[in-house]
This record gives sequence, C-alpha cells and structure tokens, in this order.
Amino acid sequence: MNRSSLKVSLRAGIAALALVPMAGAAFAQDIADVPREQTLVLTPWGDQPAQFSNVDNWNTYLSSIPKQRDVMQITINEMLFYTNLNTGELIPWQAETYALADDFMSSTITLRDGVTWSDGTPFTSADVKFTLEALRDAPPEIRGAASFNEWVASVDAPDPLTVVINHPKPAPRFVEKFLALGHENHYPILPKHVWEGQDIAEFTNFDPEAGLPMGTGSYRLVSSTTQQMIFDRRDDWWGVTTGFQDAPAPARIVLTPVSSDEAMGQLHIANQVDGGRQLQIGTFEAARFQNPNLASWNAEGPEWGAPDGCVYTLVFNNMVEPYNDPNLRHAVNHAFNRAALAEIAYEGAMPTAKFAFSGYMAEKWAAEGSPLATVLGEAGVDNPSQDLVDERMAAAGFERNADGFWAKDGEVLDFLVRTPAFIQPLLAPMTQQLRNAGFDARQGAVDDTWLPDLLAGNFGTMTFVHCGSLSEPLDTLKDYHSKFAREIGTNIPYSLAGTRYMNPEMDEIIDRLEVITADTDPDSAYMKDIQAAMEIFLRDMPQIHLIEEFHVVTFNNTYWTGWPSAEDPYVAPYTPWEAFNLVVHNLQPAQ
Amino acid sequence: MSLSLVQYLIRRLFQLALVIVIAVSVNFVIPRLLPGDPVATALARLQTAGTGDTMDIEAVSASYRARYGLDQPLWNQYLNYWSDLFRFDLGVSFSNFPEKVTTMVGAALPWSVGLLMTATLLSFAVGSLMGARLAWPGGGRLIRALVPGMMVLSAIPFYLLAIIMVYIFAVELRWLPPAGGVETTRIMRLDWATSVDVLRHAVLPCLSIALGSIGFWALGMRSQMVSVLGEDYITFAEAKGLSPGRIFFRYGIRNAFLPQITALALNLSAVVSGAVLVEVIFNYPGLGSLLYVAIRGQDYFVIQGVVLVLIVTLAVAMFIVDLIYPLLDPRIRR
Repeated sequence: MNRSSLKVSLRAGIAALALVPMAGAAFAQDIADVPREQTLVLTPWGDQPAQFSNVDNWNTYLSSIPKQRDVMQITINEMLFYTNLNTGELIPWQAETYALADDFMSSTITLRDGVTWSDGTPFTSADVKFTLEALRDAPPEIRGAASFNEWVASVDAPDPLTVVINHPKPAPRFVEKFLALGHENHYPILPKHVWEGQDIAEFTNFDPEAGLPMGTGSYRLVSSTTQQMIFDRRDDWWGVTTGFQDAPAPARIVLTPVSSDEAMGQLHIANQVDGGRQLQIGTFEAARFQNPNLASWNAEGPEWGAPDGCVYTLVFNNMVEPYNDPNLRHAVNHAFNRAALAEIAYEGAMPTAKFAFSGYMAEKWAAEGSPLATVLGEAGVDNPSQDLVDERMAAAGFERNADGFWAKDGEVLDFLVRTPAFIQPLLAPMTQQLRNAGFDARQGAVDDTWLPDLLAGNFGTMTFVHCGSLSEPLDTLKDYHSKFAREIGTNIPYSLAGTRYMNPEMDEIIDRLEVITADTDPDSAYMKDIQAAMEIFLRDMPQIHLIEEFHVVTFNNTYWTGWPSAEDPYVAPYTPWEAFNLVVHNLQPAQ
Repeated sequence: MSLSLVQYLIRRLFQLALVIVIAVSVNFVIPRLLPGDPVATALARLQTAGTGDTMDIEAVSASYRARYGLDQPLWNQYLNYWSDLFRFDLGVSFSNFPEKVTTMVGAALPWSVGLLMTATLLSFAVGSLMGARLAWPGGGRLIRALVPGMMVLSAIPFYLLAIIMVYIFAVELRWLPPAGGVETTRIMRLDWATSVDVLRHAVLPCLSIALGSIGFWALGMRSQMVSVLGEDYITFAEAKGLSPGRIFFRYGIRNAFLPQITALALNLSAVVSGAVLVEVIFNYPGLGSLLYVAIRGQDYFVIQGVVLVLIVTLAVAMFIVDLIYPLLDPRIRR
C-alpha cells in the first residue's frame, strides 16, 4: 500500500467511525460559518440532557417546552416591557407606557409605533388582544392559563397602538407581574396572523421556510437540532429601522446543551461557552483559576452570586400534628443558627434570611430602621437560643425524656428532615442543629418523593425554596392565603404554598392588599396592612425562612464583555429571565 | 448446517426472546410500583422550575393520563404497552411533552453505540493481545512493564478515570476537548472537519472506558494462554516446525480466546452501566446522559425506554457473541 492510498484509507476509516454517532444527528449543510468571536454561545439553565428534545416544536406556551426560558426570550421573542429588578426601573420595549384605571378594573397599554414581526407585518393591539384572550381561554396545560383566566375578562383594541385590558376584579399588578417584570413570566405576545385558527396546545410553531417561529426579536432561527440551536441576527429588525436601538453585537447565538455542573465548568475553561447554566461555588472557583476571564455578579467571594428571588425554607405542614402548634414551630426556629448553616452548607456563599424578601427588594422595603425591619427585629426571628427552645417546647406540652429528646405523653417527637437533592447540603447541618436542641432529628432519604409529598401534604416538615418578593412584600405574603390550601391527600395548585396555612384574619388582609398598589409610605394603608400581615406570620411562624439563594451566575469575558454585575447592575443577571434580552443588546466584542 | 447447530441456534433464540419478554414486563411493572403519580410529579417539576405560576396539576395530569391510556386498568395498559412496542412506540416524555421517547432514544443511541463499540472492541483486542504476548515465551519487556499499570487502571472506576483524563488532557495539556459531542459552534455537516471533530470529542470518553478494561482482558488472556501453551498440540506444532507467528495466532490465541469471548458477553453490562457516568462527565449526548437527567427529573417513561433499549441491546449483543462461538469452536458445530 503506497502512502497516498494509506492516507485515503485512514481518512475513510475515521469518517466511517465518526458516522456511527453522527447517524443520530441532523445536519445543516447550507448554514454559513460565523467566527467564534462573533458568536455568543449559551447553555440552558439547570439540569438538562446533553441532547435537546422537541427540536421541531417551538410552541412557546406549552408548559413542558422550556424554549422561551432557554433561548426564545433573547432571540425570537421580546416583551412589552422589562424591569431592572435591581432598581425597579421599568424599561419599555414593544410598548411605551401603561396606565391603570382608578378602580384598577382596567389597564391601558400604549404600544410603540413601528414594531414589526419578522415577516414585516406590523405588531399591533390586535396581536395583544388575540394573545391575552387566547391564554384566558386556553386549556390548563398551557402556561399561564389559570392566571389569565383569573385576571383577564376581555381585551379591547380601540386603535392599532392602544390595548385596554378589562379585569374581572381589581388588578393593580396584572401588567407589572405578567407583562413587564422581565423575570420568570414567560408570556410573549403572539403574532395573530400566524396563531389564529391554530390549536394553542397542538401548534408546533415550527416551519423555518415559512419564517416560524415568528417574533419581533432581533434573531431568527436557522437550525434546530439535538446538538445545537442556531440563531442569526436579523438585519431588518424593527429596532434598527425605527432608530430605537442598535442591532445587538453578536452575529450569531448558539444554544448548546449541557448536562452537569462539571461539564459546564470544563466548557468555560475551554472557552466553548460564554454563559448560561450556573456553577457551584467550588466549580466556579476551580474554573476561574484555569480561566481568569470568568466572572460572576460580585468581583469577590465568597458571596460571588446574585439573588434569584428565592429563600431556602423549612415548610411546616400546618394541618398535621404536632406541626400545627405555633409554639413547636417557634421552638424549631430558635434551634437554627442560620449563619452556621450558611457557612457549613454553602461555604458562606449565601446570606442568611429572616423572611422571603429577596435582595432585589430588601433595600427598598426592609432596610435598617424601616418599619418592616423593625417588625422582623422585634420578633427575634434569627435568634438561636436553647432557652427559647425550652420555653416554647414546654408551652407546646413537650418535655425532655431520659435520652434528652423532646417527648409528649411519653412519645418522642420523631423529626424527619427532608430535602430535595438541589438543597441537600442543608440536610446534615440542619439535622445536627435540631439534635443539639433536643429534637430526635434524623436525615430523610434524598429521593424524588419530596415533591409529590409536598403537593399532597404527606409530610411533617420539608426543606424547600420559597421564591417570593422581587418588588414588594405582598409577593411573599400572598402565598399564605388559605385559597391555596387543600385537604391532606389533594394536591395544592401551587408548590410555594406548601404550608397549607389557613387563617381568615390573614386572608382578609391579603384580599385588601391585592386590590391596592404598593406604597412604601409608613402611614399608607398598604404598609399598615403589610405590617399586620407580617405580625401574624411572625406570631404563627407557619414556615421558617433560613438562607437566601444566590446562584453563581457565570459569564466568560474572553469573547464578550458588558455582562451585568454588581458594579454595572443594569439588569438582573439570570439567563432564563426575560430581561436577559437586554444583556444580549449590551454585549460588546472583547476581541 | 448440522442438526446440533440448528438446535443450538433455536435454544439461543428462545433464550433471547425469554430475556426480552421478562425485561419488558419488569420494565413495565417497576415504574408503576413507585409512590406518587409520575405525570403529576413531572408537571409539578415544570411548574417549580418555571414561572411559579398556579397550575391545576390534577386537571392537567388527568387530561394527559386519559390521552395516553394511563387511567385504564393495569392489564389493559400492559397489553397496550406490548402493542405500542411492536410499533416502536415507547410513549412520551412528560418532562419534555410531547416529545416521543423513541425520538429521544433514537437521537442518543448512535452516540452511545459508537462510543461503547469502539471502547469495548479496542480494550478487548488490545488487552487480549497484550495478555497473549505476556504469556508467550520471550514476550516483550514493554508489555511486561505496561500490564501492571493497566491493572492499576482497571481498579479505578470509569468515571474517576474520566475525571483524571479530563484534568490531564483537556484542562492542563489542552490536547483534546473536555466535553460534548462536537464543538459548541460546529455546524453539523457531512464533511471531513465534522467527522474529525466528532472523533476528537469521543477520544477521552472512549479511553476512559477502554483503559479501565485493558488490564482485565490482559490478565484473563495471559492465564488462558499459559495453560494453552502447555497443551500437546502446541508441542506438536513446534515439532512440525511451524513458524512461531503461526503457532501464536492459529494454535495459541484461537484456543485461549473462547473464555475471553464468554467474559466479553458477561462484561458488556458492566461497561454499559459504567459508561452512563462517563457520558455524564463528558456531557456526551448518549443514552447515559439521557438516563441521568431522566432519573433526576423522574421522567419514568424515558427511564423505561432507555432501560429497555439497553437491556435489548445487551441481550442481542450476547446473542451475537453466542453465534460467534460455533465459528471459533468446531465442537459446538458438531
């Protein structure tokens, strides 16, 4: 065999070997290459397989298809408004302003002139009316169906740029929460001329030759395979043609799958990704050692990350004994040393929490000296004390047995500590702190029964997250309304309301708060009711908030700069949130 | 074809069918014994991961269960399950609804098959040859030096070896890519550059599995070879003046090979289960990664589909190994 035929054989062998795995891949022969330095590479948030699924289904509203959260929010779709959660500033986008009726029974939105869909059709009030009414009438598997059914009575479109949303009850927060927050509220407006006549639960919204998926966003889909989703910048984007914004700098956005924290760290080290999935603190620090271009929200640790609006909590099942006794719940609260928990479980990378108020709203509402801070301080929430544990347990009718464990009528309180896998680091230190305080605590198995049990009420206590207030205290307090409670064995409709707490006094206050706007004035009706609700909560302690969740959002400055950070907090730094679209528009090439 | 060979084939076919029937049935029963409603759980997970919006989970779950016959009596579900299987329908993923499990498995399977086939055959061939040379009089010094190292590697779990290899070859030396099936910006085309890229990404996962097995095959082959070399027919071959190479390959390896083939069949399941974690570490888009995330997300129908495909693939692989036997050992053909 001569040299050239050996080379040909070798090449054929390599190609044949490669063809085996490539048999499962889809090909994109006619897509032009774009240099890496002009390409923004992101991954989806959280645990996902190393392959994308539903590559030919781009139904934005099907609950089980997270594409709006993964990538459509920064490419195909845009929102009426965004909010910079760091400052509370409203950032108009497809719309210019909105106004609420005095009785909050309607909201009027004025759309921006010149916004167009990717096929050139004008974006008008007819599209908004079609979308909101379609969601109102949608079957339950459609994202937001229950909420839009609750809050939208009808929608009027008096002219192409004016939308009037009529509510069945006063709705001072509807536009803010559902159409303007820029958070996990994935409700983009749909092109009526595409979706009308389609079954919203069945329509795949995928026909690249016909321009689907269609949005007003600055990118178009050019390839959707199990290995990549590729989007190229649209030169005819309305923002450029109307002079609203410059085109975003990345010529191409690639979404690539990643299945684990370790793999994400490796991809960051190799500069194969620019952002996306969060890293664990250890992985981030190790990856940053190898690649100094990596950065998170804060320039220094150990609190590298940014708040995500959630707090790690201990949920009591307020319907079952002995956890239906406020004295016992208070005793458990005084058994916890939050600072030690944060240090042991998370190496000090997350701050302690007294209540589920996120870092985004804490400064405005619960700063030192404010009425809410005073209420929290007086309640002594974060106050580990064996004396207080003893006092509260005695009031609950418990006394220590010969082994030193709390018992009632001769029966030891069997305290099973349960956590989902994603907050497993808390399991051991929480158990130990409870044992130190005299509770016969034991670690539960970290398995997948926690969620069905939480929903059906088959638990005594459960460690979980409470994603609460981003902009005002009511965001958290509303979750203690008894409308979410169900009898044991029936699933609750909302996982954050796992306490099954029922208190008519609290319901009355929340009902009042829901029909007025938030107001930081200490003398306002809003603030007085919030304080009253907080006092009830702190008296009954249906749930214990422990540590605020900070994710180490990780960005790579090798190819792109301009990522949001504590020094430049122009928007919250989470890729799955709607407002991350602003980040794409802010990035600049580093090379 | 002799009668005994036909009987042998029929017996093996029957065993294959029996394994598949039992596997399919167990695969059907186990997820249904688990506590809770998997559909409701999958929906609740979606709700928790996304908007935190209210959802009538029971209503959506009931609608999905009715649509996919999960509200029918167990016996009906079992019959439907078999009927679906004959149409290659493994159901839908509730975490990725309405994606069909067959589509997900179909996309992942070639990556795993390519990886496992290459790694297994590579380690088997290299390990067996090394073992044979080790037993052969005057076997090379290099091989004698290498085998203890290979034995150490075989004591290390695949996934640990994978982490070590990533650190050395991808992070420190940067010779090979650390993760994924292809470069993140690679446009998948049927061309030379894409083929090379796919293979470059397969090198480390493949070596993690292969290096951990070579020592095992080498030791097994050495002990077989040592006993074969003491046989009369080897002495006879030498007395006839046959070349050492011919004695080594035709009389030595061929006879020492049979127990190795048996071990290969038995070892396949260990390789497959070990490869699951290797795929996760390398973010390799095969069945292992799919199974890992499906387990974490309680996506029972995907778990069921992947496990079924693994069991059937293993059963068929072992059947093929059984078929190779008569070719290697004439006594079975008689």
